[in-house]
Amino acid sequence: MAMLSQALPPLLLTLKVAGLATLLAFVVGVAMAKLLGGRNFFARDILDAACTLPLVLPPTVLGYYLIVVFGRQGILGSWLERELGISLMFTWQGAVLAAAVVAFPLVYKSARAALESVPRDCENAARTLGASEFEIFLRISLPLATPGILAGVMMAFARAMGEFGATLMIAGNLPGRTQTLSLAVYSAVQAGQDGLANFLVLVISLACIAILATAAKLIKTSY
Amino acid sequence: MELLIQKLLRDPAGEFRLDVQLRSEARRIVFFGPSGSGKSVTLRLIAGLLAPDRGRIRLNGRVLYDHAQGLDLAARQRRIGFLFQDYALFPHLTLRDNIAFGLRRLFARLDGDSSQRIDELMASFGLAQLADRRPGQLSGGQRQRAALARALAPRPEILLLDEPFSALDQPLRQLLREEVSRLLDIYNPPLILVTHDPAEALFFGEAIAIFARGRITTVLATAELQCDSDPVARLAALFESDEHR
Repeated sequence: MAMLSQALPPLLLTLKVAGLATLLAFVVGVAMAKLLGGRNFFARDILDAACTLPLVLPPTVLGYYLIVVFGRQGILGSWLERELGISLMFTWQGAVLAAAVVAFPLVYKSARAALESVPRDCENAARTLGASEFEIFLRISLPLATPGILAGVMMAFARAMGEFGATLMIAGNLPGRTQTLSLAVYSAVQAGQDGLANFLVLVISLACIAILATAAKLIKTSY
Repeated sequence: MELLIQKLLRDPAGEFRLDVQLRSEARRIVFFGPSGSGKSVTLRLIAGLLAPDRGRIRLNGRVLYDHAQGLDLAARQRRIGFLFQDYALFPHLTLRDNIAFGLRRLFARLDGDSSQRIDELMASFGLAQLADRRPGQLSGGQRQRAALARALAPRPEILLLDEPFSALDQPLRQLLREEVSRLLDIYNPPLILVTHDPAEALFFGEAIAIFARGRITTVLATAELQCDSDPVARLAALFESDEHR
């Protein structure tokens, strides 16, 4: 029981952070996939590489980038603090940002592939039937790409749940405030609380297995 | 109808120069020629799915494209019905929603008149019992009828058919040809049909435009051809001679 009460706050925080981060990654990821998936234009390949970058960079490097941009002296961070009185450093909102950046490429990549696999003539048929490009996206392309995009979203959620490095750098490891499951595992091991560590590891593993199994099922769903 | 279209297409295999000129008052025109001669590309250029480099497209007195005036109507403004070779039905929508697509705009409900039109179309196309099926659950012939009904629903000014029977084997092909012809007689839209089958060309066309290497080389009136002892053989001969020139 004592273990559960210690595990519950980080679990709830992880679900909240991962959920919001996935939502953010979903909106921006699908928008970027739509934008970069269209006609070839100058710098498209460079932008595509930039969108994939968080997948290959070490999380600490991402965390450092986030501090440079959103930190108190950061380019955006100083503006946010001055104009709106908001700071993302050492807050759970900062953890959402870190997890969203790390999860973003998974949504972007799968949305791009899913949108590209929509038959061109289905979109062309909608064009000849009087639909605008925005309407085609909402009524044809997006629904047909949904299984692929959802699979990416599930992967993104699983990745966001496990986020560690970038979160630690921007949000820290404050129990009850910014300590997510993966950070709690680290602290438990450091403090020699093996029982708690085992329990937390079990929780996060089961959650991720459930998510990935659902994602695999979604990929198989097609017309 | 007036077509003056120039278009240079590039792909890894090389360049293809399309230079099509056609003036015809016939209501049913067939584009006839070997594959790769530019028939289907021309159809897509007329529908606005591809942009010409130069030229002019006029249908029923309405100018759809005029390079000199900088006029280029978007595909959705051209009021052209298009029957795709593989039908391109929307796999995630029911048959009824497919047919209703052109009559219902985003975030709007279907009005009474449109709803009635869809019911009529589905009844005359023999699809009324299949309203809630998805395209994946339909036979080839049903899919073709559904695609035709969908294209006709918004009352297009002209119907373009891109090799509508090429995906089918021979016995079914003849059957569907007659069925499609019967349905076209009911709604009787002006049409352009693309084919490389001489019998099909004679069956549908009032005028037959012969395509070869990106140009229309000849336009024949079907009525004249019918006087010939064997019109199918004569058309087939034109086809061969162009292919091997």
